[in-house]
Amino acid sequence: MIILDNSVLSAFKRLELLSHLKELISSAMISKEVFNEYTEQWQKTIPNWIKILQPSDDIILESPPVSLSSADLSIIKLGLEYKIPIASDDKTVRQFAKNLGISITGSLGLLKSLYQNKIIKKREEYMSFLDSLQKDIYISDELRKWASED
Amino acid sequence: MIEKITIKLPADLLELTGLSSENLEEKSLLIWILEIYTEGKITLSKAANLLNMKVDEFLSEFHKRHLKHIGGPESVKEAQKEFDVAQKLINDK
Repeated sequence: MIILDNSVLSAFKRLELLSHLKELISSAMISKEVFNEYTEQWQKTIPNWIKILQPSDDIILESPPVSLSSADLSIIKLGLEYKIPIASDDKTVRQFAKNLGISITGSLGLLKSLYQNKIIKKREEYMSFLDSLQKDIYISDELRKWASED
Repeated sequence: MIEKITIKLPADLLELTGLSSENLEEKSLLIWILEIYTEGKITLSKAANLLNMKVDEFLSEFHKRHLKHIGGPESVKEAQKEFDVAQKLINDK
């Protein structure tokens, strides 16, 4: 189980890899705020393996950074409540979550994992997804080399 | 919360950019937020919120300028960590 933010959810939706992601992680959760952002951007429904949950009111964040929206904070709270990793490509979410002891992954790590686990079978297909991911995040030559290694 | 500030601009700028004093505020806010989003200083969600835009409208403005978003891992070490977290998810299934 993993918590998805809109940056990763939308990247995999755009790459048409959400069904592949399900094979990798089997289930995920998002908050109501992330669901609202996703449905405004894409479509009114979300795959049923992605659960929509609201964090408990008992989770209170002390001095959250102003760089984060209420949707960002909602997934951080879910991470604290359920003690499971968050997938985000947003630098400030990643940093704040790490400071709170929450494990972080993102589109690049998940994409490589899809390939390494043969969910994406063909290398050329994987390299094409890697190219396309550059629309969402900057991938340096060094990171691209790492991502290309078997 | 809104804070009003006064900025001085070259008189020719409005003519060169085709902007009026009315839409200059909106345009400069968009450019400013695109820049800090590009640098990874705010999240996608926050950027859209600050502009009262939907996320896809903001991304459309971002993509049409061919900007690069500093997001995801910044080093191989960080990338390897996020890959390891992804791999652990499979083992925990």
